[in-house]
Amino acid sequence: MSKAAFKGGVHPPEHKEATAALPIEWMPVPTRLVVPMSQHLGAPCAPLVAAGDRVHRGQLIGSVDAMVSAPVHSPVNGEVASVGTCLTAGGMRVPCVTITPDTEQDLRSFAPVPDGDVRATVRAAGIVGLGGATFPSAVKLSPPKGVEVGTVILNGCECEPYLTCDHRLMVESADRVVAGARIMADTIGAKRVVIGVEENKPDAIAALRAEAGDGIEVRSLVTRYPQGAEKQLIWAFLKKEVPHGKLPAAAGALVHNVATAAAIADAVDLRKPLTERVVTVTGRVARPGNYRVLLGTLVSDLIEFAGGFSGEVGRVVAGGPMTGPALADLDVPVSKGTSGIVVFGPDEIAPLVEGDQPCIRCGRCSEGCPMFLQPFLIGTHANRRDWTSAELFHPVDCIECGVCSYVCPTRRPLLQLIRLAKAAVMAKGERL
Amino acid sequence: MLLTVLKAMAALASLGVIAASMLALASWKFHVEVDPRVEAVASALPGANCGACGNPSCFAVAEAIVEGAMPVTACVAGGKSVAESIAALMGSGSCDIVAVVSVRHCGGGTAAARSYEYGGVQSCNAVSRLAGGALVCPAGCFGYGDCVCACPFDAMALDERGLPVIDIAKCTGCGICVRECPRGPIGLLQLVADDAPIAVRCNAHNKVKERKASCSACCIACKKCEKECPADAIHVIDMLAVVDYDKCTGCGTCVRVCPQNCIDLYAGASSGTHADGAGKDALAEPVAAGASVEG
Repeated sequence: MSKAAFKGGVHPPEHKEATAALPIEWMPVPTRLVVPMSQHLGAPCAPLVAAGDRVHRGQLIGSVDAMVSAPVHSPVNGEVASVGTCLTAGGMRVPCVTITPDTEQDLRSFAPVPDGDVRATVRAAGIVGLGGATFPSAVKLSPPKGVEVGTVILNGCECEPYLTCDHRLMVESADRVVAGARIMADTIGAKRVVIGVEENKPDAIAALRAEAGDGIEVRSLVTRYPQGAEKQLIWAFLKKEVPHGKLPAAAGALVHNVATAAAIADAVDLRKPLTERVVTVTGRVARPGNYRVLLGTLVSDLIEFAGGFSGEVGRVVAGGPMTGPALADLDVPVSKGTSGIVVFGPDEIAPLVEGDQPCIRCGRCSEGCPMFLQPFLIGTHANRRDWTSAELFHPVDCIECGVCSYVCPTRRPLLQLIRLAKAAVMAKGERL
Repeated sequence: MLLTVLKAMAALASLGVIAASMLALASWKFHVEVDPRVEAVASALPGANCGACGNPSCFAVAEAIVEGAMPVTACVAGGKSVAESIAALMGSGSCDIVAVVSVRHCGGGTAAARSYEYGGVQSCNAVSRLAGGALVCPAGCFGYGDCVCACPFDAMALDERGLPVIDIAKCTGCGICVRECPRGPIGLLQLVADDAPIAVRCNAHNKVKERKASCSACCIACKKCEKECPADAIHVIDMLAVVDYDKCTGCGTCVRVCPQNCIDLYAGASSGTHADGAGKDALAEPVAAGASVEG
């Protein structure tokens, strides 16, 4: 079978060898959990508990009555220490519930989510896209009326360098991933299920093929960033482009991450709410690994569990190095979208660039852009705050993969400029 | 020979007549009725298309004023004189207008502590998206000058402290800087009446201890200004000195007693003085009337 791919992209050094072979390990319950009320895209939840309340593992502690949202559950048995605000890894200040866990914990038991159909269960379990985008999964499982979604695509690419959490999950819990794929296909009536895995993970492909059986294709993809992006996967398998401003359903596809599929299988089969996730901790730490971490664990506690820093630290990034934000403060919680913590030494990071860098018109950003945009032009207009001109080059179509900033030889902050243009164009759209 | 010349002349003349009659026909056939008041109002407006009023061009504002969708005072940049001439043209509408200018409530600048190193796009709106900005102070000025770039009247400039200084002689009070500033909604830049005499150069409401640790120029809520003010016009509200401009007489007592030197004499455009960051130094050497001094 030929290897599928998309057009454009880059292949940065993978650096996955440090953790790719390490089995997933539970991180013990920390002494304090700070559970953010907004771990998803959409309306933030309102806390349902107050300081001093007893909470048990799986109990609903935050919810909001909005279409695009996901409820939050307590990851442990314990007592609510306070209800306040905290900074997230993404740099937003959001409401949060701080929980002091009991010293004795049984992480195998939890309060089940209420009975209901698949969509209601996925919603009640608080499941969001675990690849990092954190879009509420139940919303994705409800395509607009009249749109036929024929294919469910599972994203097992893990195209970000350093990260191996999805890789280990596919190797160790291939049955859960496949079960989740079946549930999703049945729910939306899709006939075809494709699981896409980059060819650098042959053990994951073998494990998934052993479980897949009839009706589920496991296909290997060219190892190239951003292969795991929704629109790029759809192109790789269906050779269809998602029209401007439309959802992937318009191309007849539904794309979910493999970890999301496993979480959906657990929610439907075991009535289990989403209270933990696998996080790859790697780079300059003493004990790199793939850890199953309770949501709300502070990054500082997680790094301490991973043996602390080994040597000097230049930068700590939450998520993959291509899209993840550098952390200004390590006392931020792990949330549903935190796929990794990557610690770089001072020799591994480029010095900060101050001031405007010139564009030398080499065109590498345009060649690399998987959405066929012209980042250098959007960047130039955004630098002059000329949003009208920037809009002509469709910043709204940008998937924010960061390839342009990565390849730019003069290190212009292209993605940051495009994000500004995107925000300005979208704000203008709301005003009209 | 003569005939050839005459033929050419006749041909050109007849082409001219045909073209002219076609143009005349077109201008009669496709004539668009324009309210003459729109053109009159448009010519009364400054014509800079600055966008301060929220419309794309002065002509669009003129149409809106004639339709009654906007008041005769719609042009913020034009001020009272423009409003009066438009009111005369429209024959109606009150042109009571309070001239306003923008004032900055921060004296931190480069001296304020940073929470992280930043090396991206040199823009306040860009940095404010990253963990709320690189400043420890939750309300201070980032100092990348988005307001300076946005000002259509060239009334702002970054000084050596990394703070935007407002030239109140040029400021029209259009409010674009307040809208552009990511901390505009929390009052870092504010529109005040153009004869407002005093400016408090701090915008922080956090704990005074935290504030002092992150910035040497902050208001420490000591209430000295509140106690000394003879007009009862300055009060510490929510841990920050706030001036009540309705009562303020501009005597300068608060400027003199402020131990942090974070209150400035800010006699507005009407008197033409502007001591930015000078604090009580401005009182020692009175500013010559009509001069625009920037700290």
